[in-house]
Amino acid sequence: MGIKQVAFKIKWVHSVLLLATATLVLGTPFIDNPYYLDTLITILLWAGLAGAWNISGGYAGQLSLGHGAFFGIGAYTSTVLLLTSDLSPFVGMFAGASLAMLVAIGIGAVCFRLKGPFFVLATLAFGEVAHIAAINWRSITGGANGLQIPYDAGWLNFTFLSEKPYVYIAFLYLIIVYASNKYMEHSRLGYQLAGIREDEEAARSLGVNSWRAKLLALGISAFLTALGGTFYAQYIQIIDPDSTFSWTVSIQPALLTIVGGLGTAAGPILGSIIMIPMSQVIRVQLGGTYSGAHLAVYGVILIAIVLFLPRGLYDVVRKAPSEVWGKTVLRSKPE
Amino acid sequence: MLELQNVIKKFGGLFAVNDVTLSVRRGEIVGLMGPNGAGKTTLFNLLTGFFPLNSGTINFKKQDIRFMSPEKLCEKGICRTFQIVRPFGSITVLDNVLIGALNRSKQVDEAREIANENIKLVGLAPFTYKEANSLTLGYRKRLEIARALATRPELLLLDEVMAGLNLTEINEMIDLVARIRESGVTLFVIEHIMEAIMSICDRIIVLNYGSKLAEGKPADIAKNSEVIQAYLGEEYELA
Repeated sequence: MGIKQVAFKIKWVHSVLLLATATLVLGTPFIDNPYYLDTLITILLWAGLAGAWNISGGYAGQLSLGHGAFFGIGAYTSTVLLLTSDLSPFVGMFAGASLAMLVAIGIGAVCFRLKGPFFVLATLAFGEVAHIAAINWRSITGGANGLQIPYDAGWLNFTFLSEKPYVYIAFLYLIIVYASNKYMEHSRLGYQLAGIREDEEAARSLGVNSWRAKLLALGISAFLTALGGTFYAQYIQIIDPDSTFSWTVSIQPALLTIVGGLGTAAGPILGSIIMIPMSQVIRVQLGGTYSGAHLAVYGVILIAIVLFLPRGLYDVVRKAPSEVWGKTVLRSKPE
Repeated sequence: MLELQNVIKKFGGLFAVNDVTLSVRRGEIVGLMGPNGAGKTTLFNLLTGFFPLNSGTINFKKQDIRFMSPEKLCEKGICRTFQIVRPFGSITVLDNVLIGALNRSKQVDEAREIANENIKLVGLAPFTYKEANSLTLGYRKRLEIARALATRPELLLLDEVMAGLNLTEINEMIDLVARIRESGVTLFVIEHIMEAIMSICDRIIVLNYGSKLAEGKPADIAKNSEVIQAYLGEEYELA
């Protein structure tokens, strides 16, 4: 599937979203408000993480709630390599992502035997185990105190004084993740995963190696999630088990994707653009008296989406309202 | 092409398939008949990697296929349809068949070509971009066949494709089966509809309670008193 052909398949919604995002990003040189830039970076990063999760959760139908482990592996691997061998985080990033991918394949090999909710629980357990390991494996991770990224600004060090380069890098990250999602929709792997999602046994009888397909999807998902982990480490400049191997990092990408549109390339982006600023506003407005209120709102919105718009907010803006509702958006359109 | 020797499949104490020996030669259309519960679908499940057998041998093109997975068997050239159709409901007919075509062809565009050909072959061209869930039963059965054909099988196992169809649809299906044979595919067919199975098959094998009851040309089977007894009970023996 050539690049040009993929580009033409991008619907108008995607164009709008990408344009909006690009404008925000391009407007960056003219904006100096660090709070605004931080919010933008947060949106872009979470949109990327959500999109990464979407590859295994949406396209492969494997709802993992343990992706925080991959995020943490990414953050810690590049940081440890930086601290011990002075390795540029841009290189360490790929080491972390590769490690995450290997771990994902190992975990998948064990957990894919489990069906439905049991798989979800197993990934949840895995995420928690990773969290505990990070706290206790002090020799590598520095334990609960975490690790500090030395401040030494420069491109090679992936560290910058201003927020602006981070905005551009986060945007690049999002583009890469979005492109991976799009690839899932039009590639052989993507079609096979759609079949597996619908009816795994029927797919297998048609020659689809479901084992391999699911492992590959989980591996790619973990790889991309770990890249986001390194970015986070370099942006915040301090990492600890509670911020990286956390429950939030496991749940939030799933939440954003489901709200935005599971199994679609635009869904994770849509979910982030709507939910992240909203949670920030709620935290500001209600944070003092009702801290944690934004989580309650998250919950309510999630329930509402699941009940009324099961395919996510993306459905509202889908081009043809007459398209029948179902679980996937995979379509070969008439030329 | 396909050889089963003394195949036994037990579920606990029940012999679902009891010492069955049969073969299918390349280019044939062989029918598999028998009252409900005779073990026909179980036999198909053994042939397509869904159950492991208890004893016996199964060889396809001289290879032992007893312990191969469904996807491996599809690669080897055996594909099946399901008695209760299992379409990929929320995606289009084209995408359904495309997934089958991706078995042989690694390129999506090429697979789409193959898919379109097979959709035309089974007469589903007007429904190409419709969601599979929107099809009626007769068309779903055809989709099932198109999807299986897209995997380029050498041996196609059809499990009761005529069930639930009206007379017109049955005749159309009979034509389709003939066309499939013409395209070079060997067929092994489970069927209950007498007119259909008698008219399309070169040879028929009858199972009863898991054992092979009779084997022969359709005309001979129709006259076989044991077969008649198995289906209709002992009091009925047509003169």
